[in-house]
Amino acid sequence: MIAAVLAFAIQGGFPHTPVGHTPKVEIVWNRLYDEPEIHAHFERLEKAFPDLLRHEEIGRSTENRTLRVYTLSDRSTGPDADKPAMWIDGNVHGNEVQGGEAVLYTAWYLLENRAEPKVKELLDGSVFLLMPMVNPDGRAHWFQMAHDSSSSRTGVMPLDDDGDGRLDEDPPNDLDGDGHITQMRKYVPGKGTHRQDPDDPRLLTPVPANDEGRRGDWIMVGEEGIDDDGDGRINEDEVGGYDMNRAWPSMWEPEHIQGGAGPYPLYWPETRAIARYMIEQKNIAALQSFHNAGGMILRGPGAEPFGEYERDDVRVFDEIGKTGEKMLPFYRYMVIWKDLYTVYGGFATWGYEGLGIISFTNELWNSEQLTGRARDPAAGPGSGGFPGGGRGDRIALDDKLMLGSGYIDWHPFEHPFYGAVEIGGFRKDTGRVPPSFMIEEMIARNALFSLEHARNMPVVRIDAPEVTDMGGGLKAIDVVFRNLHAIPTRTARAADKKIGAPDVFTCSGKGVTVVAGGFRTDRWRPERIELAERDPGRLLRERGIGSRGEVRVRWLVSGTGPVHVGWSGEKARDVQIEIP
Amino acid sequence: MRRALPFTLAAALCCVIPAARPAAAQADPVAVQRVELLDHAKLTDAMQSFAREHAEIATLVPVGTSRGGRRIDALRLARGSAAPGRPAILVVANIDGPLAWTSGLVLDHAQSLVARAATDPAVGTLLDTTTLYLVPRANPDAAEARFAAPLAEVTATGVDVDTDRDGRSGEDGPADLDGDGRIEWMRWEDPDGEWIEDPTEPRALLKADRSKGQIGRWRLAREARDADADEEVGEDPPHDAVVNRNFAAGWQEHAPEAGRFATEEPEARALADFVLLHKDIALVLTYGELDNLAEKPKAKDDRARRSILPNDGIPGDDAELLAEIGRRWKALGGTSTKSAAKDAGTFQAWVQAHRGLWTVNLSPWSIPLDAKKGDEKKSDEKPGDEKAADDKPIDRKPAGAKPADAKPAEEKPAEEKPAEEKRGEEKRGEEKRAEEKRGEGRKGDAKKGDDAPKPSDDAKRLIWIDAHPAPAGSSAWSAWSAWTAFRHPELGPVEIGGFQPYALVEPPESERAAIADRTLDLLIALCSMVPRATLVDVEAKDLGAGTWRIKASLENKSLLPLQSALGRRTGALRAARVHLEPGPGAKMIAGARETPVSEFPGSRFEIEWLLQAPSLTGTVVVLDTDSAGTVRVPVEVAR
Repeated sequence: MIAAVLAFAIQGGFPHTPVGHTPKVEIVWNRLYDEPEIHAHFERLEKAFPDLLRHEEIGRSTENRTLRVYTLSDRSTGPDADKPAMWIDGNVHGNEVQGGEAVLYTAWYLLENRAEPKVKELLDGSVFLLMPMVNPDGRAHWFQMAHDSSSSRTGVMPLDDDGDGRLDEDPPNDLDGDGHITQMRKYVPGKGTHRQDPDDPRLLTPVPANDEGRRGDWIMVGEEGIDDDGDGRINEDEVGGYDMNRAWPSMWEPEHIQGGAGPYPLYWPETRAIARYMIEQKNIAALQSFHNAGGMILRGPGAEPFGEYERDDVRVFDEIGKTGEKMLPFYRYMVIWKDLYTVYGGFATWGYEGLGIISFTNELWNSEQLTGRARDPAAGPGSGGFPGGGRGDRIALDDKLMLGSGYIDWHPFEHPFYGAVEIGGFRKDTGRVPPSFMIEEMIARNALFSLEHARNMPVVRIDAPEVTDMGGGLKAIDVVFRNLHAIPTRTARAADKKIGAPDVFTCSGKGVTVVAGGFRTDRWRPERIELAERDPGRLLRERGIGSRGEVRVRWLVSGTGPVHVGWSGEKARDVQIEIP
Repeated sequence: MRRALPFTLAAALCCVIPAARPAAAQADPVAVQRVELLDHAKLTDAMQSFAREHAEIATLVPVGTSRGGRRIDALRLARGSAAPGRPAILVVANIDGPLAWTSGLVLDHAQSLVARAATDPAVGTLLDTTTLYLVPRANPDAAEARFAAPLAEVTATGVDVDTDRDGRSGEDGPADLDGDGRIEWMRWEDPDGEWIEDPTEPRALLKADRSKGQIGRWRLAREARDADADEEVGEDPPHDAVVNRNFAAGWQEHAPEAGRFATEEPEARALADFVLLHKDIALVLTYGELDNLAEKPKAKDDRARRSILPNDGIPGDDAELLAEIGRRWKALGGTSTKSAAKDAGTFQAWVQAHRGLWTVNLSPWSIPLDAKKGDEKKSDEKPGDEKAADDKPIDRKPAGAKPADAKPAEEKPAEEKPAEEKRGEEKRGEEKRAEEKRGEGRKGDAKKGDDAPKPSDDAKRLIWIDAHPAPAGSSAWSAWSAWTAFRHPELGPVEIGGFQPYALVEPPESERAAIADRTLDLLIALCSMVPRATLVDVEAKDLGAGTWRIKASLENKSLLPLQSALGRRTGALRAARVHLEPGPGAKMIAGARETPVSEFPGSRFEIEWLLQAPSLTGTVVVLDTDSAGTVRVPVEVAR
């Protein structure tokens, strides 16, 4: 009995299963955290697991907030640079906050589970580069100031959105001081476009077209705000107004083609700091960038003119993406330009097109997860799983599951221009982020999907070589190098565009001369070799070792003594064996 | 001796063409050497002292710092107070590495303008109404190679890539093997070679054309070692990224010369930021490899949202205006070389296609391709004798770079002044054919009749070079060095020689003053062409019942409209805005609060409002542009 209890207690750490575990670091997962709190949580993890987690500052944001990359790795099993790395980030759009929690959860999960065999395998053999907040300013603004679920997407460098020569002079205004930017409506009896729902006064519906001149009593005035700059428009020049996920170098296009892109790539300090950092990390073999919302597992191309990705790479994307669909209910694996919309200069597309990394962007959360029902195709996008597809259903569900707390009921306000209006609508922390009780599920599933992605990073093994005596002192050494995992040691994109360094296959030995060597093209006919023109002891291969693939090499050597054959590449741990 | 024009004539001319120039030197009594070749230290010093000495006109404005830590500066020229605002022209030189001499060209502009400011009304008007930003050297790291030993042309100064994929970077750059102080060309016999001697001129090399039965015999490369023993010479130089390939328009991802991302190179970013910061810039004039004045740019009117990359063509309206500028340039005696260089990733493409600014690109000199053998040209040629040609400029990449290899069959006759253009062409063509038929004047030709191969562009350049030896006793060197045998440590017997560094891009000293005069004329002419928005005829008509109809016209009488078609397409430029400010007690009862205007046909655009007011006192029409600043015009009763 005691032994059983002890065995149970010894498991410690993370609760895969609900009974008998206590994590070393308790984090409440049914909340979303402001920028300083995310750092504070990471600091607690660093203190609890100092041998596995550390951070570096890679730059500063527009408002001088720290830009931090956390490295999670077990250096006792080898230096970081020798291992494949997975990059995971979130929150490039300031309002898409739950990516921060998703990255935090990924770190917490790995650390708390370090003794679990599958986690240990990941920690032994790979590195995680974690950046919870790409846009800390945007996040902080979203939390601390009045916003709606879609605003504060931008960074906070001032920008003249309306061309009047002034910067950020007409943002939305929190007229009723409730910390949310909602909507304004006005009662105009007999002269309106909308009518109130008889069962729920919160709801307005448009008056259907009719030939009797019937009109409604209400009109939707617009977003909560006033005309700060007196130019006849309301809320047309918010803080910032650009999109840092349109700033990346691959397929970058200027503003008139791609709104929000800025005057040249990597214009904003956050983006440039990250690009500079990532370019130097030659070992990144997997990439995930968390956004909200919609429930998607996205890959590029971002724009049709790119064409299609290399077929061998598409197979890898498909495998991981479809696995994701199984792990993330109601998420769809999609191609950005084809299934969503055109994006020039996106981050994950640069990850693949520019850096040759198998990269995904997950859009976290959709309301199908809330209703448990697939979206009615007849209802428009954004209707989630609501059966009628409409706002009314959303409010009704909010009434039941949030006791109405997600919706700010309409209340009167005297507007300086419009006169008597009512202000009301959904809170900023609804719609694109889940209700509290579904946060952990969202981030847990996505964290585990990231780990699934990471587990696919290449691992190279050398099969037992065959040595054949050719006579006259010449020996043939046949070696098979295998990549056990789905992600190739070099993607087809990297091989095509010569990104990074080719894989190197080596053969050497003291007292041994490598007379000739090359990659074998035929499993059964050893004389079919792509002979290297020079330096046969050091063969370069642009295509690396493919997805779960193998590369056969034959070396012809003379002399006596042990021979070392090995493989060296950027995206997997080097391997070497000795042949006596 | 200077002969001054009558004042009235000069005044009348100043709006149309620059005041007629004296034939000889400037008003400056001291004979100054013009268009000097200055290294970084001397150029910095010259700019700083210039700004100090002429502080009422000139200011030094920092642009940035090169990758190698050298400062990049602009000279801002403007006389009088900045308000009301004025449009600005940005002049950029030496963004292409080997064109260090053009820094002196721009500095000469500054010096000439200041020297003439007090006496030349055209120049005075220019300085009072236009701001000039002069950037003499946008690429100081590459330019400094002009003053280094051994002498080499340098194009790439940026990020290095492992071009030959051998795990080492930058291990095989150019080297001065024969110790003559210059990085020249090497050729050596190799059945794998791509080159043959030009049959009309054995010194020059052509790419072998198999379809004509030509078999390559020579390999050609920059003077270099095969340090990594891979049988390639100079194939992995220490720098790959080129500043003027590192801009965002048409940026060639994964091309080594383009760098790892657009504006990674600090020189490129600095220049881009300078353009963004100075919103008064209306036009950019760049002296470089690109030229859009030699002939009308290709027009492509594309309604699709997809951007027009500069190589595809520019909107027809813009092409027409550039053609007009080209005509005026030729009328000033200017010549242009149509460049074969691509503008992908260039500064010029970015300012034009992404920022929508008026963009004038000029290649100020190249070796003429129409010199005749046996001609002895004097050192001070008259302007206008240089001819344009449509050959490819030399590829400047150190790794495997080759001289221009124009196909003989596609040569076009050289261009002359517009008035004689067609006649000149025909005449020249006839002369050539006649010459060839007679077999005159061509040494080494064994041909007869119309099948005689035509000389390559390099052969033509050699004709000019032979006719223009370096003056005795000068520090200049010959543009061509004979192929001289040498034993290469890895390749064995080779020949070293060929076109000398900078020979193809630097004009003889004797020609530089004339080039400076003509290009300054162009700059002055451009100042009169840039759009200038003003408010005119701001007036009110009394409609009774305390109501007034107020009209104002936005006027631009310059050749160039407020925005180019590309400017309007990109939306990168802020539209001019006109609004009415009612005075005390006044109320606008009809009309737009603010009218943005980015284009209009003709030279005037009228806006009107209805005002209800007891009086017009204090009612103002306001024009707000990035170039004119804010202009307030009180409304007056119409007469």
